[in-house]
Amino acid sequence: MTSSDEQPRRGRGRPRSPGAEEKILHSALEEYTEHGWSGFTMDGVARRAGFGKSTLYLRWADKDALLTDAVRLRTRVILEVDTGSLRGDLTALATAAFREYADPEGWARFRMVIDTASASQSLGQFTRELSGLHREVIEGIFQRARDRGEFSGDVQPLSVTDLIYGAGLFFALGRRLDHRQVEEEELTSRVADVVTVILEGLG
Amino acid sequence: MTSGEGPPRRGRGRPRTPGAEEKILNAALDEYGERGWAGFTMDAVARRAGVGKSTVYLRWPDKDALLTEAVTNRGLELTSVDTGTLEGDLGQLAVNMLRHFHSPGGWAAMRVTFDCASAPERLGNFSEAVSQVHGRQVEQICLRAIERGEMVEGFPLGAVTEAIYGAAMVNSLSERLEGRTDDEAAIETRASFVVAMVLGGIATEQARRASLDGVPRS
Repeated sequence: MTSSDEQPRRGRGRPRSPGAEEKILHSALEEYTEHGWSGFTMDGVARRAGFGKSTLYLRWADKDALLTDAVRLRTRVILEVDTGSLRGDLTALATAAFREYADPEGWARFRMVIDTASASQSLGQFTRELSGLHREVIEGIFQRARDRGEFSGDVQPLSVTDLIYGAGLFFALGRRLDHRQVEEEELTSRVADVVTVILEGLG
Repeated sequence: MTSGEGPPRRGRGRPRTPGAEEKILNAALDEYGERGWAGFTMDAVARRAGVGKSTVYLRWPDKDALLTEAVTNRGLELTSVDTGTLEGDLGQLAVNMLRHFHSPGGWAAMRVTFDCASAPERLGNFSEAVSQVHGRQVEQICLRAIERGEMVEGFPLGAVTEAIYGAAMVNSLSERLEGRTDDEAAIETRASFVVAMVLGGIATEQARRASLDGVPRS
């Protein structure tokens, strides 16, 4: 860690200290939450994470690549659901979505997305990545349900994501407009309603 | 129409040019869509609409009032559907909302709503008006359906509203982010998927209750 000039060349593409990658990805999300896409710089992320800029560039070519990884990591954590039943999986997914919007930081992240979408600037790879990921998750959930013999119909993954995220968003929006706190109990019952609409609706 | 100088003073509170009101409300939404709350000025709205600033001030005392009307007018127009059937009403509503959020004005209205929801305190009449527009119409649609016997009481109406409005919002957002533009056919397809899910949910509940009721009691 001292004289980096003398260090033998290690395998490229990984930060040199253990845990660094996670720390950097976490800092990237925090930077994004505070500054949005336009104010997001590799420099800012490096400072926040306490690494040299070169450490970041060893692993990620640009901010698009970095943010894509950061979002992917976080989304994977949120979306990795496998409860053993279709209702359980959809409930877990919807709960995560509702919580994300109800959480002040999650709401801030969402505001950034809105601002970015309004600015009509190119957002790069990472939003496409994100929506692809959502689709995969839904397809995975229904594939497992088919394998278990719980479900046999057709499903439009995008309509299911629109419905789940839309409901979560609209729910949080209503609470915010009324300046009411989201109670855990209420959240649980709204999630159950949405899952019921989806499951009964798909027959 | 010829010499605009010194027209007799007319009733206050209405812009003098026919169609000006519509133009100003549209301009207000466009301005907001581009600049957000902080960058929004009455001046710029007047310029964009091609009217004098005084024309705007004649009708609306401040930007709060102007935006409130721009947002709520559009909202009410879009959500007043009454086709005579639940399927027709929800289908029409879903298409209207999708079309709306995909348009520049609708996108702006959505941003206004999100800004209100993010403000630490109520923005006067504004938040109030915005939250009134959203959701109440679905209740009306469902109440009529219950009267017609198309829907059982007790189905979660909140979930219906959330499904239709929320799905339209998320859909227009992801479309923007991915740089897609949905055409009319795509909008109708998307609306029909969501409505089919909601109607299916309602029908299943209906059937479940009917089978419960069908059990001989005596």
